[in-house]
Amino acid sequence: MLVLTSISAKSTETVSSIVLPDFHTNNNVELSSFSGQYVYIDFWASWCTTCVKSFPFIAHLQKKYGDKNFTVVAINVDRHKSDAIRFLSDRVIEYPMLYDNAGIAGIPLGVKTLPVSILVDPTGKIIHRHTGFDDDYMKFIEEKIKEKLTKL
Amino acid sequence: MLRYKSYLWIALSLLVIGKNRPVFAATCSCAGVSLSSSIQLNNFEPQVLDLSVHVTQSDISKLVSGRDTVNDETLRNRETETYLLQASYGITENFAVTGVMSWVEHSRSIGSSQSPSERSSGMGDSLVVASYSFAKITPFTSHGFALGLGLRIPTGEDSNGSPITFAEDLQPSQGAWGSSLWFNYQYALDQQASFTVFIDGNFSTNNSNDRGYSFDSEWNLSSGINYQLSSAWTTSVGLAYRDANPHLRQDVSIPNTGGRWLDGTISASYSINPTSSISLAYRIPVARDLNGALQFTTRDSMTLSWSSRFK
Repeated sequence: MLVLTSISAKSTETVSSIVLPDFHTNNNVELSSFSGQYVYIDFWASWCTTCVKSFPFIAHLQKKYGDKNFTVVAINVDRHKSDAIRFLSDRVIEYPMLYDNAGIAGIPLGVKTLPVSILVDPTGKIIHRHTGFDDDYMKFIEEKIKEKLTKL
Repeated sequence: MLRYKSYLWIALSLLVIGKNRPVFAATCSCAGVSLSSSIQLNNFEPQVLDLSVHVTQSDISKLVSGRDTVNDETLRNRETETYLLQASYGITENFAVTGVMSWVEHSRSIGSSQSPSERSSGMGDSLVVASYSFAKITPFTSHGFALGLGLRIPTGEDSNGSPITFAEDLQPSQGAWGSSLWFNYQYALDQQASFTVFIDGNFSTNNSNDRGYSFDSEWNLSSGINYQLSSAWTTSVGLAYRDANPHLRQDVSIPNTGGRWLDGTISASYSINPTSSISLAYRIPVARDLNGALQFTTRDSMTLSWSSRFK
C-alpha cells in the first residue's frame, strides 16, 4: 500500500484524463472539458491559511482574464466536505469548483502540501506548477498568464 | 565556562547558516545517546539542501549503580558538548542523502574547586545515511515511512593531546567504522498534519578502532507526538529508549559500560521564515538499568538547533 502510494505520486504532464465531481452538484466533470483555454488550477483546503490568503488574488485573475480564454478551476481537498461547505458559506466563488478528497487529481498531479497551483495550456498540457503562495508568485504568475493570453 | 563557550558556538553557527522536531544530538561516555540516534529521515524535498547545526550540552555527572542513583561524595563533575553539522539533500522525491559531522568538547573535575578541570576537544566521527521514503504524509496520505542505511566514518580524533582519551570516553569520537539501519514512521492524526505520531529507530554496529576499542552494537527507539501550535510554533514530547551492549576492548567486554536507558524528551520549534527554524530540546532520564557496579550517566541534556533549507 505504501509503495503503491509512492509510485502513483509521480506527477503527470497533462490533466486531460482527470475526472472529478463538481463541488456543488456532484456531477462528474472532465478537466478536458476546459480545453481550448488556459486553466489555472488551484488546490486548496479550508484549514490551509495560505490557501485562504490566495483567494482574493484568484478571484482577481478570474475577474480580469475570465473572458479572455482563461478560467480558474479550484479543487477543494478537505477530507470532510462539510468543513469546506461551512468555510464557503459566506464567500462568493465565481469560478468552477471541484472536489477531490481522495487524491484522484491531487496524487497524480504531485500535490504534497498546500496550496498548489497549476497552469494548463489550451491542449491540457501543464506549463507551470507551484507550491505555496506569496507576493512574488502573484506577480510572476499574472505576468505569465498575461504573456500567454497575448500570444493567443 | 563550557556553557558560555557553547553560546558563542551557537551565535557563530547562526551567522554561518540559516524542521520541526529537533535532533537530540549526541554525546558522552556510556551516557546520553550515540551519534547513530542523531538524525531524522523524513521531510526531505527533491533538490533541496537542508543544513542544520545542533549544539547539545550534557551533564553526565550522575553516578548510577544498576537502576539506583549513588551519592557521589567525590564531587565529580563531567560535562560534554557536542556540535553537529548536518546536511541533507533530496536527490529525488523519495531518495535522500544525509551527512553529519561532529565536534566534541569534554571537561571533568574531581573534588573541590581547587582541583584543576581536565578538558579535551576534537573532531568526532561522521555519519552518512542514504534514506528512501516509501510514503510521505500529504493531504491524501496519513502515513509516512522511510528506511535508511548508514555508514559511520572514523573521522574522530583520539587523545588529540588532551588528558582524556576521546575514543574510550566520548561517543561520537570512537574513530572506527560502523554501520546502521534506520526507520522512521509517522502518522498524521489530521489532514493538515498538525498532530502527528512518530516512531523512529535504528540499530548500529561498530567496529574496533586502531586501539582495539569498540562500542559494539546498540538499539535506539523513540516515539512521541508532534503538535503544531500555530504556523510558527511546533512542540514535541516523547520517550527515547536506548539499549547498548557493553563496550569491547580486544573483543573483551569492558565493565561498567552499556545498559538500557529510557529518557523523556520535550522540544519547541519556531519557524523564523518559510525556510529557517530554530528549536530547543530538553532530555531527562526517566529510568535506566546500567551494566556493572557504577556508571556515570546523563543527568540531563539540552540541544539548541538551527535549520535552513536552500533550493
